[in-house]
Amino acid sequence: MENQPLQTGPLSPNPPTALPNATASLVLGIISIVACFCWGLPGVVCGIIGLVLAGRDRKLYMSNPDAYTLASYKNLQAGRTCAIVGLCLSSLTLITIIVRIIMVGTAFLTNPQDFFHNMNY
Amino acid sequence: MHFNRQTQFPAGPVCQGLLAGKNNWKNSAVVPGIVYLGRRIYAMFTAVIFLISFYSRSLQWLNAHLLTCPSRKFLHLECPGCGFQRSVLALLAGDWAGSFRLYPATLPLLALWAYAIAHLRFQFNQGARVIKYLQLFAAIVILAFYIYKVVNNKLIV
Repeated sequence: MENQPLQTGPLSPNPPTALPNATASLVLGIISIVACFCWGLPGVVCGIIGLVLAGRDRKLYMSNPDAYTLASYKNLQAGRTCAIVGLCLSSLTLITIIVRIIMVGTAFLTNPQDFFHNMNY
Repeated sequence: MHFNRQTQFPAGPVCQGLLAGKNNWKNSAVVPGIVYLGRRIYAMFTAVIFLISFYSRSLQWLNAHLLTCPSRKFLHLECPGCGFQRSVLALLAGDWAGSFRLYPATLPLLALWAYAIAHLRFQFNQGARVIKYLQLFAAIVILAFYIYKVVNNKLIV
């Protein structure tokens, strides 16, 4: 009994299951495009977590493709792409805001007395 | 001797025999069909008016309680997502042009979320690919609108 090879496939006793983190990766990828909120930090966090989950499940699928369904693998790929897009956007937002803070801080430190005086709204 | 009908004879099945005349239905438990229909229509009308007023008051409340973007609050500069809430509220109020003017990516984003929820529920055949392209499209619209705002000096609040 134990020496029998593990049979997988549609007609085997072990039917293919969905990848464990495919849905989570897709949802995190979609959420990560709301990059703007709170200086892009939630977008960066969601994007990184989605990418890590997608990478782990991709390894799982590559090691044993017959054990998992193709639909969940497609979901995983879509989630990975969405996470990359969202991560790009939110990290751009984050970098922009950091650059702005640096610019404003430099402007303030170069002439602290006159900074608020010269501000024109 | 004169009796007031309203006070003398309360409505109910006891008085039905006494008040079964033509115009005495007001005090009777059983009303004519047309009156019943009228009351139903009046109740429905009231309910519709109540729902519309509740919706409009909710929109007013939401307009007064928008979440403030930290970038907008502290740096006085808009971020790539600023305008989304106002745009959604404009959409809820029926102002499609205003919604597009405030934040063009609202409709693609809402469509993406609705399609993603439907895909996770019903497992469409090409759902993953559609979600991928919708996400790319929304990202491109967000980026293009941000560049537009930078170029046209609309970034400073």
